[in-house]
Amino acid sequence: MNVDNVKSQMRKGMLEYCVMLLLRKEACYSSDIIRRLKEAELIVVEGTLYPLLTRLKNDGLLSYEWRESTQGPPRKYYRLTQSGEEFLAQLDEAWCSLANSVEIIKK
Amino acid sequence: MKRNITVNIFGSLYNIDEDAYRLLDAYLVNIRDYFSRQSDGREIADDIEARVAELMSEIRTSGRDTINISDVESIIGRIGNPEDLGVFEDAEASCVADEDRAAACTPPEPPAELKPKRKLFRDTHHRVLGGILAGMAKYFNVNPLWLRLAALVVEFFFILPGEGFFIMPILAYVACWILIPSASTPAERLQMKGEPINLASLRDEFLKGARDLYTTIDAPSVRSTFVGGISAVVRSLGFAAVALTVVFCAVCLLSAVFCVTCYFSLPDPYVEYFFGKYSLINQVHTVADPAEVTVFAVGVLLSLALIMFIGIHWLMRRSGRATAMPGWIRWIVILLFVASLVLTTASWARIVAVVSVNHDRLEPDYRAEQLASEREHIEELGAEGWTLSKGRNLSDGYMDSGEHYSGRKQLKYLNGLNKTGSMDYEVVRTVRIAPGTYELKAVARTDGRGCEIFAINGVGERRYSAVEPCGAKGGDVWAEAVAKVRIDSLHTSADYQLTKNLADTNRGRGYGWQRVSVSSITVGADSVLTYGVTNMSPTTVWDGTFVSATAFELRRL
Repeated sequence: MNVDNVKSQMRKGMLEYCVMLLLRKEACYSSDIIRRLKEAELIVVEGTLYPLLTRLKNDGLLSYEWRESTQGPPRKYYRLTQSGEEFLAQLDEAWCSLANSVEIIKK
Repeated sequence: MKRNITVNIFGSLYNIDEDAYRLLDAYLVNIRDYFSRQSDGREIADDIEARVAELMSEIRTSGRDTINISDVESIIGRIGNPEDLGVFEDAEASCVADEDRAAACTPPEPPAELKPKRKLFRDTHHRVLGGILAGMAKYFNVNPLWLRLAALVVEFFFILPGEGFFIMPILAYVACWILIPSASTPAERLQMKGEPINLASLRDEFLKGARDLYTTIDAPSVRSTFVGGISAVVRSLGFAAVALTVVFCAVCLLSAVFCVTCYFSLPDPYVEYFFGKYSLINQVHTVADPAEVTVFAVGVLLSLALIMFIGIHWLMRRSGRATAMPGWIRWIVILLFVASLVLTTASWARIVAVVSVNHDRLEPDYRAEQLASEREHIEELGAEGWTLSKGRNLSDGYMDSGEHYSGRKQLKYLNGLNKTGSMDYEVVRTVRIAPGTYELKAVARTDGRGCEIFAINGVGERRYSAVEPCGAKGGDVWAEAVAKVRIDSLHTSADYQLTKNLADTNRGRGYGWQRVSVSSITVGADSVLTYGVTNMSPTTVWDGTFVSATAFELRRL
């Protein structure tokens, strides 16, 4: 059993939840999301985020709009959709019970 | 000194070193190729490219003008190689447990310590023609020499039966050439060899490619010029040629489907009736094993359909409407194509063997029948006192009936016909009549120059009158009848009905008959006169397809 492997599996499971959490407060563009995830040490390579965003968008949980940027190409700003909010609420519950379970076991 | 390139990404220009550009391009192509297997892959690849552009603009904002190779390496390091993204995506997909998506995703990659799966490419760096066998040798990890020898042996077996079968393996090769992409980027070359794609290996492969290039420049070979010439032609013809091939195959496929349907659904006597007793299709129908014919038909239909499929897919890829086929589909297509070619060839060889025996057996019957029908035609002429003095390439006997100028269908007329026009037709009648001066009248029609009504007396004096080309419509005989019917509104004339028939003939358009007359024919003391119709005018070259004549009438002046 490889510790790195297990760690990365755990991170992957959480990533979707965390991305949606970031978008709960305000619309973000992908590089913002990457920066925040990197700060939280959730991702190593940036490329992993793009397939995930596209998938969430295709599932109707996220939507995006193009905004011009003063430097570089125009940016995609992602935000939660209505069903995204509902989905996130469920994830919240799931997370709380999960964290709770882990706490109980740890004691 | 380093060459420097300007690139345009999403509307912004960046200066980049040439080697850095090559690496970046290889990386982006690799990313696109990797995600092309997903339905939303293009969007993901676009996002990643946008991110690359953003990181490059950050470098520029930091005050450096030119992107160099270590910048590109760090960008790739940040965004990650497709491998890293791939493992991640698969795990994600299984977490989501969305069946559709799981099906669309690629199967899980082997663990990192194993070598990644090889992919089939054409190895254009080690090619003889298209690099297909070289690529297959890489795929199966064998020496390409063995595959090339095997290919020659296969070709030899297809040459043996004759009948143009040698073309089959060549077609298969061309199909593979179109179907299998060439390993053009360093990343693809690594995939071809089954080596992991990462920064170090990409860089090595890239540098190796450059070395190969220099070797070729140092020692150019005749072969590479020759092959280069071919592939340049293939490329430039490419799109149009493939599109034409697809259309051609579509037409062939439709007619093949029609033939196969007729062949298998028509009751026995009809095949003979439609195609003729001695036609190839009837012989196949009577003597060949139905199972073999079925195999042959399936083989032909399948080959045509596969060529169309390959062609259409290639066209769609060229125009950016489709992505590369997944490897397994490509393999199935190749296997099916080769199988259908082999089936077609083998079954056809057996059918031909059986049919040619039957053909030899039927040969005497066929000859006899031809002779009998020839005799019949000559007798038909003889019954009216005519002789065929010159005849060559005539399609359909020497006389006909049914389009007679008089409107009476049963009346016969002399008729020579060949759709391609290369015929000789001359029919004559020799009579003994009292000496004197005569006029010969006849009714004739033709669609070309060189047709004459003529008369030759006993001392060889030839008098003639050319028939004006008018085709098989209108003509003065018909025009007269039409005028006559119009004038005779009370239907008083005795031959009204006949005239009316003539005016109405060919749905009121006439059959092109015209009056011809040859005057001042002198018959001498020998009382001999020969007259008739010919398409072999001594002065004009024949350029039509038919000649008809009838109602010859000699009048003494």
